Parts: sequence; C-alpha cells; structure tokens
Amino acid sequence: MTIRDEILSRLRREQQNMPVTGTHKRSYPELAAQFSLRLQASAGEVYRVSRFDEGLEKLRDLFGELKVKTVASQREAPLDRIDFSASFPNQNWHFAGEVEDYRGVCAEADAGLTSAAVALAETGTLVLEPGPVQSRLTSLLPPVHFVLLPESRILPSIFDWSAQLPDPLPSNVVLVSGPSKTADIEQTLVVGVHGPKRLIVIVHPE
Amino acid sequence: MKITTRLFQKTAQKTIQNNRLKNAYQSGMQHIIEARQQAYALVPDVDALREELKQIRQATIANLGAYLEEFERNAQNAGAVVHWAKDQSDVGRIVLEIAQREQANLIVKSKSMVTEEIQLNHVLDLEGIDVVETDLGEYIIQLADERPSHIIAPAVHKTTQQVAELFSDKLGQEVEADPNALTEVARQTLRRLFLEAKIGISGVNLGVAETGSIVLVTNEGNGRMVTSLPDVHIAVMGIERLAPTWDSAATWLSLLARSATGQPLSIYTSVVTGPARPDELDGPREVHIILLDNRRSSLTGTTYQEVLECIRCGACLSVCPVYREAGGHAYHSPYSGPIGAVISPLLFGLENYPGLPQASTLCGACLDVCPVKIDLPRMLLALRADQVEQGLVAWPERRLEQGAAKMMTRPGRMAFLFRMGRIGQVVMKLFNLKLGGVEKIPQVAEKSFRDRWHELEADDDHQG
Amino acid sequence: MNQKVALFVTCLVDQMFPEIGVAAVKLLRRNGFEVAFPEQQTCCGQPFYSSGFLPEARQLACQTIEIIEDFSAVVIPGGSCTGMIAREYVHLFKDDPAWQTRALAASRKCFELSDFLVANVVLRPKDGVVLPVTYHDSCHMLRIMGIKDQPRLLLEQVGCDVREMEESERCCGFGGLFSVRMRQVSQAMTGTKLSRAAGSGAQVLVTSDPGCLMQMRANLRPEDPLRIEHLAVVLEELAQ
Repeated sequence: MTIRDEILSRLRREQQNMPVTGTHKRSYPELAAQFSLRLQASAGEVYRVSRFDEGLEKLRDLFGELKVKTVASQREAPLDRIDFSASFPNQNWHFAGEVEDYRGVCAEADAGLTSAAVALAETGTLVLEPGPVQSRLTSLLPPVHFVLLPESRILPSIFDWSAQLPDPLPSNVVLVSGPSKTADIEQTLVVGVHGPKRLIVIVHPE
Repeated sequence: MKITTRLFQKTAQKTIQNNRLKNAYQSGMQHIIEARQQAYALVPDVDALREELKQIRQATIANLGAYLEEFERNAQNAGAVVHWAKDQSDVGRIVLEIAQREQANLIVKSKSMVTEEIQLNHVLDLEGIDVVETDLGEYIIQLADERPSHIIAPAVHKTTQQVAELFSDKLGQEVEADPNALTEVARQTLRRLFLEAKIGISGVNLGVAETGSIVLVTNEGNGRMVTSLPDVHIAVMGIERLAPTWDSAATWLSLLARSATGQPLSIYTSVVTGPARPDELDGPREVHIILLDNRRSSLTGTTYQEVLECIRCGACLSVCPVYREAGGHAYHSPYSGPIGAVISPLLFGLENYPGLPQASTLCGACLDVCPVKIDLPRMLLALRADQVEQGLVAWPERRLEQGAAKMMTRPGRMAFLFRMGRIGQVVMKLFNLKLGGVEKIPQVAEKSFRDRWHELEADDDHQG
Repeated sequence: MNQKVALFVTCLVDQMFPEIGVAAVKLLRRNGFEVAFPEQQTCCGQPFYSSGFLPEARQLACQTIEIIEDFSAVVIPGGSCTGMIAREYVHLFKDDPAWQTRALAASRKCFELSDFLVANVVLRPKDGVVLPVTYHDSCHMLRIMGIKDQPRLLLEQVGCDVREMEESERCCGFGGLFSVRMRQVSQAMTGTKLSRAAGSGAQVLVTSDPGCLMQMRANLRPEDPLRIEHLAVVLEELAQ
C-alpha cells in the first residue's frame, strides 16, 4: 500500500459529508474611499485624481520627488495608453517581456509601475496577476511600487473576488495590502523587509 | 528527552526570573491582543464569520479524504507535482531527491511551522544543504540556533540589542541596535540569496481543493520571493490545511490575519496554482506540494479530531496566562501555548510530553479567543485522562489521588485529609524555603463550616 | 412562606474558609430564605476530574447529585464548583445515560451565590461608607457559567466603589492542582494578578471563588496595600 493510500484509508474510516456554505456580502457607499482608508492604515499611500492625465502628472511629480530614474513596468491596461517618452522624458523605462534580463532590471530599478487586476475596498487590497505582459517581479523587487488603479476595478471585499475568479487561475495571484513590513524585532513596526518599502497607488476614473 | 512539568518549570524560570524577557512577553502579547480586538471590532459580522469558519473546518475535516483527492487532482491538472509523506523521513527523502536533481546546495525558505515540526532544516543540513530562513524572526533564531517562541512572532523573546549583537557577530559587520537598520541588513543579505537559490521551500497556510491552489501569507514578502524567484518551489502542507472552495477560503482568510496580527489581511497573500504557465513571463519551472500526515490522520474519529480544525493563528498563545509567564521555550516544541500543549503530545507522543497537558489552569481564555472555537480546555482534560488511563502518571501521585478521592467521599475523612494536608504542607514548606518559596501556607480553619453550622442553626432557632 | 435553599459550601469553604459559608447563610436568611445544609456533602469532584481521574470524579459526582436531588434550589458560594456541577457533570457522564439525565436535572437546580442573589433580591447598604474594591473574575465562573456582571452589581448595591483592574479576566494562577504541579509558574501568574489588582487603587480585592481566594492570599506580600475577601463576606458585612 502506498503512503497515499494508507493516509486516505485512515481518513475514510470516519468520512462524513457535511455542507460547506456561506459568503459574506459587504457593501460600502464609497468603494474608493474605503479602499484608501484601509490601505493608508497599513502604510500604503493613496492619491485620488479626477482624470487619467492628472494621475500621470502626479506620477511625474512623485518620480521627481523620489529621484526615480529607472522604472520597470508592463504594457497592461490602462498603462498601455501612456506615451512614456512624451510623458516621462526624465525616466528610463524597461518593460516586462521586452528585455532579456527583466529580473536584473527589476533588481536594479528605482521603481516598478503596474496596474492591478482588481482591488478590494474592505481590506485596502490590490490583486495582481501575472500574464503575457505582466511579470511577478515588477511589483516585488524594486524599492517603490507605483500602481495606476482604475476606480471601476474596486470590489467591496475578498468575497466578491473569490466569487468571480479568472478561470483558469494564473499560476500566481498576489493580494497586496500594503508595503512589505515586519514587527519581528520587539514588536516594532518596520516597513520594507523583502518587498517594496513604499506602495503608492493612484486611483483614477476610467 | 521527556518534557515533564519539572523541565517545563525549569525552562519557564528563565523567563520568570528575567525581567527583560518577562516584559518582552507581557508587552508583546498585550500588543497582539489589542491589535486583534481592534481588528475584530471593525468587522460587523465577526461572530457570524467565526461560526461559519467553524462549520467549514468541521465539514472539511469530517470529509478530509475526499477533499484531499480533489485537491490533488486539481493541483496535478495545474501542473504541480503532489507527494504524500508520512513523516519527517519521507519529506526529507523527497526534498533531497529534488535538491540532488537540481544540484542545489542552497535553499531559501519562507516561514513554515510544519517544517519546524519535522525539523526539516536539520535533515537537510546533515546532507550538506544550506537552508536559509528568510522570515526576519526565523532568520534571527536560525542565526542564534534557537527555536521559535511564538507561532507568529518566533523571535519575540529577543531584544533589539541582542539581535544587533547577533548580526554583528554572524554577518561580520557592525550593525546598530535599531530595528530599521537591522531589517535593512537582513534585506540586503537575504536579497542576494533569493536571487541565487535554485530551490525555495515554503509552508502552506491553506490549500484550496476546487482549484488545487496553495495559499501563503506573509507580511515581509519572503513568501512571494520564495515562490517567484527560484526555479523550483517546494511547499510542505499539513493534510488538514484545506479549504474545499474559494468561498470558504475567503472566510478563512478573513479571519486568519485578523486573529493573528490584527490586520484585515496580511500584506501579501500569494495564491500559487501550479508552476509558471507557458504564456507567463516568469515564475518557477516546477511546483511540488508535499502533503504531510505526521499522525494527523490517526486523530480523525477520536476526541481530538477537533484540533485538526486549527488554522495556526496563534491567538491562543497570546492570551494564555501560562504562556505569558512561562514563555514559548518552556513547551520544548515548535508549537507552544494552549494549542502546543494539545498537539505536541498528539503529534510527538503523550509519553514524550507528559508535562504539557498539565501546563494549563483550564482558564478557558484560549477557547474564548479561538476563531474556530476549538475547545482546547476539554482536550487538555482528555489528555490528562489518557495519561491516567495509559498508566503514564507516576504511582505515588496515582495512589495519592485515588486515596484522596476515597477519603473525600466522607465528611469526617475529608476533614482528616485536610488536616493531614496541612501537616504535609508544613513539611514541604520547610523544604521549599531553601528554594525561595514566597507564598504563605493557607491555614486549615480551627472550626470547619459544618461545626459552625450547628451554632448557626441554634441561632436561627432562637430568632425563629 | 420562605423559599428553602440548600447550601453546597464546597470543600474549601468547609475546611479552610468557613466564614464564607457563615456569611452566605446570614445573607440568605436576612433576605428571607430558609437555609439547609445537607451534612453528607463533601467535594464536587473537580480536583480529580481536572487531573484525569475520572472514575474517582464520578463517584464524588454521584454522591453530590444525590444530595442535590433532595432540594429545589442549591446555592454555591464558589464559581468553579458551580461550573463543575452545572456544566461539567453532563460531560463526565457522557457514556452513562442514566446518570447523565440525573446530572442534567441536578445542574438546573444549582446556582452560584451572586447569580442567585441578583435574580432574587436587591441588597441595601448598611451605612454611608464607600469602600473602593476591585473584582477578580474567576475563570470558570466567567467562562463556563457566563457570570460577570452579577457580583459587580451586588457590590454596587452595598455601596462599594468598584474599580476595574486591568485584565480582570486574567487567571490568578490557581487552576487546582496546577498550583502544586507548576508551582513556580502559578506563583508568577498570581504575582501578575496581584499587581494588576493593586494598580486599580482599590483597598479590597474581591473574588467569588474560594480557590482563587486561597491562591491570591497565599501569595499576597505583607507590603501589598490590599485585603482579599470573598464576595459573600464583603456583602454580608456591608448589606443591611
């Protein structure tokens, strides 16, 4: 008998079918406001703008402020609408899937810029999915992670996300609810352990 | 080594006698308790959520075999390799085979209690493989060659100063005693290793049967590193950590971080469904999931089945008044606190952990706080009854208890027993004085209540 | 006609703290109850139950149930023993349906003293003295019986200024034989409890459980500015 069969046969001795139920509906009058509130509570930074172009201006200001020279990014919607050389003449841009050593690029870049597949208001969470133009590393290796988030992608809570997952699921979906942090040394909060030290989200209308 | 009440106390004394350590536990746990209370207060239907998670966990464990098969099937369809392991040696063998094939002698690891349970690092170390813990707390205790003292805060017993000395000593560079500076040093040191390692090992917070996914939560981002950078990702998962559906997984995740650290969700929740797809840009070439039993399946159908519902949030540790005085190391197990007092004897043998079922006043704070409402006090009682039934209680104590019980059946003999007890206490006290006992001996009353009852009755007759 | 209640004093009150039983009798009588004391009573069996000696615990439980069956209401000045009889006996007899039925019936007749008093009477203060007190929730009374407000309410009725200590629900470290088997840890726990109590600024630390009372008194240092009393004693002293 294999180990598998041995374990399963022991478990089957007492097998009993019981129903698994329930999801919790949440509603928030203002999804973007709730999203901002929660993300800011866990050290994320959120800017809400009234036009996409205004979001780009904000991004340009922040790049200047943080002295961002090299940016790793990916050509996903809505970033694919940006004319990068025109809008950001002072930055060097590298795009996932377009350079040989994108890992090396991300490891050295000053910042990463992505969008998010969806966002969750209740917990202030971004849901990131890898894909043909999206890398896992854009949001992980650079010290600052910028996000351009269309407001329409904000769902109330994790229960709305789990009810409409992409099928099939990408190999790696990440729910991000703030910049990387720890409290492992004397319960002191420190931001920026292995992942980004800053998470800056610009919420814009479609 | 047997973990007796004596050994428990001996280790606990290191915390009790050390003001710094005592404060670390008192304030650390207070911090975690308050964070959890605040997080729960923000959820309008938190009791309904707990009720639902309880029901989900109950139903899953009751039908675990079928859900595991579904999980296995879906994980395989997504391209993961699923392995089954009885114990430490099975897991060790599987990991070594992979490591040899990949010619890997460096493995980066994200925090995992289940690998602590089987001391996987030790097994791999013996084979010359360098396993580096990447959770900051685990990294600290790995450098210090210690064991975790809390399920979610493994280095809660260390001060900033101690960590600074440790890093300066082990990493060959002076680091100032500041949590920010220390974290930065760990970031840089471990970043190099993340980029270099060919294999990443992680635990699993929960698997989801309907998609064959595994879910990993971290705050630091090491879970993402380990599952994204190395070519091969190996996940070790206790067979009980399964949610049937994504709806149930959402309920689970809604309570996990809130109960553990008081966060609505941990910073990073990684959902891994097989290795990188052909149309994806990066990610591991292989994903292996090792389903570990380690006596879990033998608990189904017993009094202890309920303990398999545990989601390892650590909330019971932080509220436990015994844990908060004694500290995590007193349990001599990766699992400390009330949950550790129950599962350590169950996983590693009651005969090896006779002291742990006694390490509780049965105050019930753990049951109050448990998001899955596991009745840990009742299981501690059951373990104590097992100790008696299996003859694991030393005969003098057994005879004493049985004799005392017999005497307690008659009022006169009971009074005699108390008076004898008083004499015994005086003798013990004389002995204990040398050990620095501080307490006064409770006095047996000159006149018992039943003696005074007759006077009271006479009084009452007067008045009546 | 006065309602008749039986008093189950618990072994600790009988042998160690008879004044608690005396106070309970006086309080009950003063409030119009006729009190009986069934003299065969000894111990509810909890120490043996908690140590895993189940046959021994069952023997004491059977004996206690037989005593309770003779009365319509039994009052107990101890939260933990009430929890044992009223909640745990049914578990103790889970494999013995006949005794389980009797245990269940007996459990319905058992009342912890403060719970019983709040349900039946309103106490009045004797004079204008305002005593600053703090209340320690004993674990089983709080978590098994769910009694938290009643003792505080009674203390207020007799004119006490109830000052909440930090973590009033935190265990005092007694735990029955835990205090013997894990003496050093137990004492450390009591030390924490007493410092929390002292921090409240109260003069008297009140508890409803003779076990907690014994544990805390034994570890009280002479320099601690606290007196530790059972609820019954305080109420009897301050109520009209």
